[in-house]
Amino acid sequence: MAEWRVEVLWRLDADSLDNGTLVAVADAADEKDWLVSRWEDGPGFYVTGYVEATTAAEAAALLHDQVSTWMEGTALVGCLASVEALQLDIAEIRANKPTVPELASAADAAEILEISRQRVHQLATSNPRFPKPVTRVATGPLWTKDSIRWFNSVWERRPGRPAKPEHPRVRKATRSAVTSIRAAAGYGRRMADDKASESKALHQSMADKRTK
Amino acid sequence: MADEDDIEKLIAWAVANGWTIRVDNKGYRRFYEPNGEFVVKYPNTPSRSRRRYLDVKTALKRNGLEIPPPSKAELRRRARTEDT
Repeated sequence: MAEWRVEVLWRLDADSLDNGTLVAVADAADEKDWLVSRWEDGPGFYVTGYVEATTAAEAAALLHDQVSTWMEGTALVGCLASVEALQLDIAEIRANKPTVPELASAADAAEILEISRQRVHQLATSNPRFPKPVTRVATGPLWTKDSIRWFNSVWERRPGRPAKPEHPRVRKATRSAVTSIRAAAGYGRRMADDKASESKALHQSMADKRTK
Repeated sequence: MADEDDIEKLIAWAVANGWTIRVDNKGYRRFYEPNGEFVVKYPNTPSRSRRRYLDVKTALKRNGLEIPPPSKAELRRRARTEDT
């Protein structure tokens, strides 16, 4: 047997629930060691209690029946609209969960990413994977800490100075210079070949004359 | 067990956010929303104060009281308490 936190919602048929009635119900629930709190979405209230049971379903059914019986004796006409049974540690985690997410300024993001504040702003504008800020205030953008932590896990850092991109005109000029050098080299080779063949021909003709 | 400090902090936070806390003749603290609607109450000497504190916190959150994450100072204080 374990202990469960069970919460049932009693939804009233009335159009509204005044403070006096709810206070009276809360006082009456005290005797049973239950907590009564207002339902946020309309006329009704939650009844929270702790019961011992082996399963969540059994715990839910237990408080459901107890509250049903209790409400039958009152003039508050309505129905049990929902029931939830939670293990105590889950109930505690849920109760302590903040409703506002953890936010990070550029300085906080810089601390998480271990970079400078200026680099954060640079990344925010240049890196498409950098998270979008949830809001902007007078001091700058604000991100959720979770999104910055996520970026930290997927960001491929490239340390050091980034390579300078080659200017297209420089590349063109270099290419033409190389072409002309190659052409010149080719011309020189052709000239040398021509001279070599000319001298070979001269030697051949002289040799022919001698034999005659 | 809930520290009396915890409930006092929760009350201070609720008051700072426009809520009203009235103490009835039994010493119960009643929480009213900024629009004047009664939400929940916290006994003067609850039998299981930790549970009751968490239940009240859940009710307040559900009815619109924003609960922020703990500040850096608060986290540091908790870490110090855990160390000792």
